[in-house]
Amino acid sequence: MSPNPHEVRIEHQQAQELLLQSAVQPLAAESNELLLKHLSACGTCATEAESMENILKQLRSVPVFASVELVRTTQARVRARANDIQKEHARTAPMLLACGLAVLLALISTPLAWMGFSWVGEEFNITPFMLIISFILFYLVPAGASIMIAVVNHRKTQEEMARR
Amino acid sequence: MSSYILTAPLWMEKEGARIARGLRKRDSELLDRLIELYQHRLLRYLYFLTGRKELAEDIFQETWMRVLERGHQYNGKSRFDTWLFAIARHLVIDNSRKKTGVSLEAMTEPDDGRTPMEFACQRTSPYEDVSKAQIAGQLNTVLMQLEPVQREVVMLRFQEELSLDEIADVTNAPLSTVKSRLYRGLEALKPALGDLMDFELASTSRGGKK
Repeated sequence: MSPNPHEVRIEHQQAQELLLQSAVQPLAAESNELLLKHLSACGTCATEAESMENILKQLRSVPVFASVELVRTTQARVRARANDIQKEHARTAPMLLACGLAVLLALISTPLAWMGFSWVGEEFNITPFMLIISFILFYLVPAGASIMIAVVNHRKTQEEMARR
Repeated sequence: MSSYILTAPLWMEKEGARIARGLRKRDSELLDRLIELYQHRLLRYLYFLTGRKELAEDIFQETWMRVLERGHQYNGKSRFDTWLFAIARHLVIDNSRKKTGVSLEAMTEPDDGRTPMEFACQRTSPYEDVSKAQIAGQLNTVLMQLEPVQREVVMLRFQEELSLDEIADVTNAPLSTVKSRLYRGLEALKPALGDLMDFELASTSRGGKK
């Protein structure tokens, strides 16, 4: 009994599909066995399989190399930036500590300062409105000045980094 | 073999955790080593993603700057190379948006100012060097004919040997999309690479006769 030519063609197509699948991800054991059986019997597909293997080998061997100069430049840039970041942190840490301390001191001193302001208000007959305004300014003026100094310093640092 | 399979992920996890610790501390020595370790792979990926040597080199440097600045975001649980490629990919997309307002798919159109990659070869005979460089150049041309998204997954799968899941992570695409891009890419490569192999066979036989 001669083989059905239609069946052979379908097997051939299936083998081609399995070949492509096997290149992308490992086949299931059953499919792999089917493919191997087909390859051992079909010269065309075996050649196709060999060709696919060669294609993958070619792809794995594309020789693109980074130059020594590129690597050295990158390493130098990364080191310089790491140093900048460390310096920034070294500057920021004391400032954060100072801010924390200032908040703590403000919390402790506010009731005492308000007691002092009330006493002065009573002694010199200052209206409550003026007393509140001067109390607020007593806190806001130094804080505002500190913020302005910090902003100016930050801008200077940014300009210095941009120049580099 | 089985012991390797059992211990390899553990080793990779430890390595990942070590890298993550170093990156959090912005350890310059670790970064130097990582740059040296991944230099060729990263540049190759960038080159095939952008199709331009100068651009690939610029983004190579920017990628490492980004690794330094965003190092704390690497958790050490996944592979470092997939995280690195994802950063590089984002930078390529950002760059293409800034310059042309187009997506990755449209960014490797032919460009007059484009410098072709020079392909280095291991030291053999001068004839073999020339022949290998020619084949590498042809292979490069063939790969550049693919759509960028197909070329990217083909390179990640067969050059960088990432798993399909890892490619999906890097490209931020569903697994089914990654597979279909791979199938289409390979289908498109088959005829052109067939011609290339004929060229290689011809070169080899000429070399043999010499």
